Amino acid sequence: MWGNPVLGLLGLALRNLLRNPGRTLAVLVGVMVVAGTAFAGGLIGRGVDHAVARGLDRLGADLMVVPAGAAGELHTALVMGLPTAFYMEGERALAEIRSIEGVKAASPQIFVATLASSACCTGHLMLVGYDPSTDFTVTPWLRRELGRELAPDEVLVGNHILGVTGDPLTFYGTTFRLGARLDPTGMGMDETVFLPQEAVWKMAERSHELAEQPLEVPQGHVSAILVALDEGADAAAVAAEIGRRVGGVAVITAGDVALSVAEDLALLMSGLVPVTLSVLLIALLLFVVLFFAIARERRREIGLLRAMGATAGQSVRALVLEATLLGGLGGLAGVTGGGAVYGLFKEAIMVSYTLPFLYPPAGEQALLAAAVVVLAAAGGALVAAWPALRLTRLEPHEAIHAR
Amino acid sequence: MIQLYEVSKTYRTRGQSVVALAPLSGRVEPGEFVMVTGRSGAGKSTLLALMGGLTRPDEGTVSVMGQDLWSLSDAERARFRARHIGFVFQFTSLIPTLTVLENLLLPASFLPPGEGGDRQRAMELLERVGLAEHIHRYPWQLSGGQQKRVAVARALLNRPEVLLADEPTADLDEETEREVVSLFQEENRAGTTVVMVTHSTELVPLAHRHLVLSGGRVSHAR
Amino acid sequence: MVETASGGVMPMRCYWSERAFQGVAALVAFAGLAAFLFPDSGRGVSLAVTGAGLLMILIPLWLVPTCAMAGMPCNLSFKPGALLAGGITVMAGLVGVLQLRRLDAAGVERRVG
Repeated sequence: MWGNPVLGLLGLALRNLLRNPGRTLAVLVGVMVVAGTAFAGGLIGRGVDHAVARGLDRLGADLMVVPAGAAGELHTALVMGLPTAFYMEGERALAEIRSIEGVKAASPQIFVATLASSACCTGHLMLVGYDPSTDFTVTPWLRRELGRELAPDEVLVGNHILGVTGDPLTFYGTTFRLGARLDPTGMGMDETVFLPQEAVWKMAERSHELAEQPLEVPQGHVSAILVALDEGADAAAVAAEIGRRVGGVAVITAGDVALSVAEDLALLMSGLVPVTLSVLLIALLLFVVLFFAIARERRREIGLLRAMGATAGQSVRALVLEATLLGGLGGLAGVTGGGAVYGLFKEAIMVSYTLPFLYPPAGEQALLAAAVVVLAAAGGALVAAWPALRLTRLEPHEAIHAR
Repeated sequence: MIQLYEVSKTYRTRGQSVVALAPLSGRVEPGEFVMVTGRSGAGKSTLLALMGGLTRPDEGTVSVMGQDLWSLSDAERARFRARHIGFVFQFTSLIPTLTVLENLLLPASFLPPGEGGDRQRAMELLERVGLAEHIHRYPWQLSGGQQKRVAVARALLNRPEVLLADEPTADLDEETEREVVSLFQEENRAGTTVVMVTHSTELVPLAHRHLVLSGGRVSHAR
Repeated sequence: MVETASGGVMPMRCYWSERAFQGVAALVAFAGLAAFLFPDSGRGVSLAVTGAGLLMILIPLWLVPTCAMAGMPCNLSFKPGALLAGGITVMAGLVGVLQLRRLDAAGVERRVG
């Protein structure tokens, strides 16, 4: 034990903690809950940011033009992939938008909500019909990953849609094949099926014969126009100009989406933060009580160590190390448990708060976990320093004979 | 070896003062074996604590081997104790989470490597007290008498010049009591100065000198 | 088997009923094994509890699996809850098996009945 000083001290600290396993466990659980909650909170915050950044980047659009009053539905479709369908006149709007200064590209999309299936495992899905000649959302991805366009009977699915390449997917009586699957974004695109708008119109036509309910898509109408701006263009100014020239529309910027998500996140945090703080307070209290009790129990032992030649600092070193170890272990258990519990309930939490989520890069997660563990360990050391300091102020004789 | 000059100690608790030791002067010569007896509360433990630098005297000076203990810093005094003074207490003083060997080696851990005892010295001492096969046992696995013998061996690890024992044989059976005292005598014959507090008047003749304390004063010295 | 509107096929209720029954039967067999391995009831029961926890995990994952759509209520609340409860039960059972063993080794007398 005395060969390796660090391992020796740590081993001693661990043995001391196991002297009273019930008590140690109680405090460990307290620290674990705090650490787990803090870690999950951090993960949520970073994960939401990551999803929004990825999702908006994949979308490629700086502005989205939808019928007036449909902004809210668009938001839930973008963020959660909840199916929605609304339409507005397309040709004139497109022409006007393309003529505005600062607009680099504009591409229409048609939204379709599929019929609910009576069987298990296929709920509503969101279909998006895009214009292959002007699209800048999925077409670049197709060219890069697939090296070709979609065939007339193929669809491109978001990452969460079930099935493998080649599987049949039937919408409104027309059967398509799963052509390719997008990378995860954490946003609504993961629950969306993309296909050329031509295929949507054909499907609508055939639905009168083949489907349980016909699909009506007014000819020449679109659901949204996605707009990409020139470098340096003022999004707000262009949005205002679009609103002026094309009446009866709502223009949403990428910033609006991010802001709206941030508001929903703040709502979640407003519940989570007080809970974390309350648990932190309880854990701190448990820690203080425990280490004051330990200091009291070990007073004679510490007096003895000083009689043998330990300095005041050396005699309480084990105590502080125990607290650090307890905090660190609690932090580690909390990060592991918190991460696991969050992983299990992630979907439920995010759906409740209408939040997108994508796990941040592994390095960032590791950093967050490490920060939580280090803070827990340091917190433990600080808390134990108080009773430890009081002990060092006693003379060895006092410590040995105190009642 | 040990010199006390006009040392006194008063304890103050909850507004009350208790005089543990009235101004007292005396010497313990190198190689002496001194027994200290007296009733409870006479100041015996306080006297030993003063000799070992475990408590500061209200007045007076305490010197061990010519060194004024209270002219040293806390750290220096701790190191001085580790090197030169061994303690044996009445109560079970082994650390419960350390094995017998680890307990024994504790005093060496407070000195730089090479200055204190080592594993070989620890094993020699354990052989002398008859506990060499128990090195990996924990204190709760030993009897009271065995624990006391380990504590005595521990006090001798760093070859201290002074051994201070506060009622080391209380709670021990006669046989173990004789073993412990004979260990002290062996060390004393080898040159260690021993000051031992005891309630057992039968042990007094084994020492060179006998001090009786009463009410914080020396009432009788042989 | 029954055909779904999307063209897939799915087993009917009696199939899932049999699967659930098989799970419980396996647990009963496991409990018998636990009683055989550990005649003292404390550790035997703890091991059986571990088996119950495993069953809690296996039901939504494999025996009577929930559907694959992530947004369904069973996947949002029931399945994660079942996995969490099952995991805790398994750990509690294991602690019982190990902890009670430690008491025995220390020679602590345990009351019978």
